[in-house]
Amino acid sequence: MKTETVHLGFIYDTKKPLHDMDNMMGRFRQLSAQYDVRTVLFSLEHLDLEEQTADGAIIASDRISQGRCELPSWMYNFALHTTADHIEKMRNLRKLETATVINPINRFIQDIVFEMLASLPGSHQFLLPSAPLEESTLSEYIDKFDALFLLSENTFHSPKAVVIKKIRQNDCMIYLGANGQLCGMDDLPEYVKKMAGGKSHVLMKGIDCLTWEERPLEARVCLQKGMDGEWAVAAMAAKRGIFSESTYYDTPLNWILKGRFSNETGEIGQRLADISLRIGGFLDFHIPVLGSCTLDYIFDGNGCPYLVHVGGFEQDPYFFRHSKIRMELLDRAFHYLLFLRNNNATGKGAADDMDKSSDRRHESG
Amino acid sequence: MTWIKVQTGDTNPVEHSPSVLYVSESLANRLKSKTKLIFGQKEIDIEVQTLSSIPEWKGDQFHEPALFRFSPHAFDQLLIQESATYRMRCTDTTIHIGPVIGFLLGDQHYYYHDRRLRELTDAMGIYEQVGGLFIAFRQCSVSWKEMCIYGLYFDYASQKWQYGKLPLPSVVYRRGFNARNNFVNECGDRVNWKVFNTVRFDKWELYNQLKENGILQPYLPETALLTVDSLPAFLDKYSKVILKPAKLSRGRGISILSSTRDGTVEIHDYRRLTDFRIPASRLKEYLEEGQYLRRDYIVQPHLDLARIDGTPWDIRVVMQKNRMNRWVCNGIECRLAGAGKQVTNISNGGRALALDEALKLAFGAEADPVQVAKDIGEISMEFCEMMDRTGLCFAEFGLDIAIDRQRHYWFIEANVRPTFKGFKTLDERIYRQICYEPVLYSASVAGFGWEDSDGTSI
Repeated sequence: MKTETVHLGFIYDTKKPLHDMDNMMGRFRQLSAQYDVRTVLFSLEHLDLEEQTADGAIIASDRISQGRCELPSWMYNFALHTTADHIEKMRNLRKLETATVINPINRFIQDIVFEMLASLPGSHQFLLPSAPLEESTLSEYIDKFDALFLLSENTFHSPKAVVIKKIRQNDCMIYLGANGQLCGMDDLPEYVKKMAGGKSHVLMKGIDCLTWEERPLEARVCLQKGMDGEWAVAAMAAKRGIFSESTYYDTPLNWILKGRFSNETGEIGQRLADISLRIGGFLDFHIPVLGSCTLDYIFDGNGCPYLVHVGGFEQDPYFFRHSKIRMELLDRAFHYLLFLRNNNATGKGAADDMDKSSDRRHESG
Repeated sequence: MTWIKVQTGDTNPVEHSPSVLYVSESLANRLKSKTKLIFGQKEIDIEVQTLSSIPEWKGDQFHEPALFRFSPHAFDQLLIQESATYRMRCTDTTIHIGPVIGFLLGDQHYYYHDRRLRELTDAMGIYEQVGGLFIAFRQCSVSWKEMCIYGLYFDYASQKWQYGKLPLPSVVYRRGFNARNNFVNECGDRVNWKVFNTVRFDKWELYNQLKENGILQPYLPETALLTVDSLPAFLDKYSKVILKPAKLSRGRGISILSSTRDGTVEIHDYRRLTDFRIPASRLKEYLEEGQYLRRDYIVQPHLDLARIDGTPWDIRVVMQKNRMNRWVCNGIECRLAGAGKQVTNISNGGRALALDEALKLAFGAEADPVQVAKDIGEISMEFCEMMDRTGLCFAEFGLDIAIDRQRHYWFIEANVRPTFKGFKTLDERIYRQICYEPVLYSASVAGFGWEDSDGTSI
C-alpha cells in the first residue's frame, strides 16, 4: 500500500457516537481545502507505531480516500482511551520526538489537577478545599466542614458524587443522587471505605448548591485554543450529572441564572468565562500540549461558581448534536493545529515554545 | 556558610526601602547595610537591618538555622519558599542564598505530581546536608514573561513535592530527553543557568566520537550506518550482525541477522515472535519493507558474549561527577538477559547480578573480579574524561560494557540519563549513593559546595 504524506492528523474513537465520522470528515474536508493542507482521521487501532504510519480517511484537495499515511507532525486527539493497549499506545505516541499530539490524554486525575490549581494565587475564590480520600483527610474534613462531597475519580455513570451532611453532633446523612442514608459519625469511615470500594476519590468541602429543577445546577465550560493559539470559551451549557442523573438542559445557562439573579447574570457568565480562561492558562504550565479542556462548576446560593471537575476534549454527545457548537469545536481544533504548523514549529516541545497564551492569560489573572 | 530559614512579615510599618532583610544583630554586623542578594536567577538590591526580636542563632547546623526575615516586597520578588532551609554565603558585595537547583523532567509522565517523583524524593534523602530549593519542572513550566517556573518544589517538612511559583534555578540537572534537545541551549540565551547533561548522543554520533580515542578504540565493535551495501558487507565479514536504531535505547527495535551456509539469512526480527529466513538476495527488500533505511539504523557484528547458563549478560557502570567535580564510579551491576532474550536490559525482563557473582557464573575461577572491576573502571574513566574534553557538560553516565567469551571488553553504549532499577534491588546503599551524587554535585556547581571536604563520603 502506498504511504501518503499528510500535514495534520485527528485521532477519534470508533466506538463513540460523538465522533460522527460523516460530520467530522465533511467539516475537515472544507477546512483542508480552504487551507490547502492534507489531513488524516484515524483511530488508535489503525496506528502502527513501529512503522510510524496510520491507516485512515485521508483528506486532500477536497477528496477523501481510505489509505495509509506517514504520521503527521501535528495531531489532535479527540478520543478518551480507556483500554490498557490504547493507553500504552498513546503513551508511546506522545513520546515520539518527531510528532506532537495535542490532548494526548482527555481524562485527568482530579486530585492532582486540584492540587495544581490550588497553587494558583486567588484560586480559593473558585476552588473548594479538597484532598484525596484517606482516613485522615476524611476525619479532618468532617471535623472542619458541615458538608462534604465525595467525588469518584473513575466513573462514567452519574451521579458521580456522594454528599455527606452533618445533621447532629453524632450523625450524618449520606446522599447518592436522591437517596439518603443516615449514618452514625463513628461508622462513617467504615461506611465511606466500603462505598469507595478501594477506588480513588476526591474529598471536597460541601456547599449548599444553587439548584435548578430541584437538582444542583452545574455549568460546563468548554475551553479551546484556536487560530491564534489562545484559550477561548468554545461552548458553555447548563447541566447536571455530578450529583444526580446526567442531563444537559436545553435552557441556556444565562437564562437559568437570569431567573435567579436578574441583575447579575452577565456578571456571573463573565466571571465563569474569566475563571475558566485563567484556569486554562495556568494548566498550560503543568500539562503540556493542551488544546481543549472542559471545566464543570457548581454554584453557591450567591451564584459564585466552584470548579468540581476538569476534563480534556469534550466527550459528551450533547455538544456534538448542535451543529453550531460541533463546528466550533472541530474548527478550533483544526485551526489550532494549523497555528502550530504555520508557526514553523518543528518537533517536540515547539507547542510549548510558541504557545504563550498561558503567560498572557495568567498575567491578566 | 550559614544555615538559614526565611520568613516574611511587615516588620516595620515605615520601611525606607521596599526590599529589606531583617537579621539578628550579630549577623547584621557581618553584612553590609546595602548589598546585593542573589537567589537562583533572581538578583535584587537589599537593605539589611537589625531586628532585636530575631534570636541570635549562629546557623552553623541544619537544625539550628539563623533567621532571615524579608519584607513582603523582597520575599515576593525572590519567590523564596519558607519551608526550605537554605545556606547563605556572603562576599563583599553580595549575599548568596541557595542552592536553587532544577530538575528538568522529560515526557515520562504527561503531568507530574509528588506521586510520580519517587526517585527524586529518594534523592532528597541527602537534603539535610545540602539544603536549598529543589525544583522539578519541564519545558512548559517556564514563564519567560514572569521569569519564573510554575513547577514542583521539595517541601522538606512534609517530604513531598508541592506545586508553586518558583524562581529560575541557577543549576539545572536534566532528567529527560524526550523534549527538544535544543530547549536547554535556547534557554542559555535568556538565563545564565548551568545545565548538565545538556545533550544526548545517538549511537552513531557516539561511535564517531569514540573511534577517535586510541585507548577506547580497541573496545569498540566495528560500526557502520545501515545501508543496502553495509549490511551484506558486515554479514560477509562477521556472519552474524545486529541492527540497532541509532536513537533508541533499552533494546528497542533491535534485529539480529545470521548468514547460513545455504545462502539464506536467518532473522531474529524485533517485530516478530518467531525467527524466519530469507534468501540473501532479498536483504534489500527486507530492509525497505522494515523501513530500516529511513530510521537511522546502525549495523554491528553480533558479539559472542560470555554467557551464564546460555544467557548473555553485560555490565552497567554508573559514572557520576562528585561534589569535588571529579568523575567517580558509583556502581557496577551485571545484567542478565531474561529467559530466551537476546538483550540484557532490566526493562526487557533482565535481572541484576553483582559483578563477582556474574564473573564466577560465567568464567568460574578464571576471571579475577578485582582486576575486571579495575579494567572496567579505567575504560569508564577514559570515556568520561573524553566527554569532558568535548566542552559539553555531563555529570552522569550509565555505561554498558560487555565481556565476550575470550574475556575481551566491549564498549556497547553510553546513556546520559540512565535508570537505576537494578541497583535498587541489588544494593540499597549503592542506589542511595547514586541518587545523592547529582544533588551534591549540583549544589557544588551552584556555589554551595564543600570546598573543605575531601568528597569521599556522604
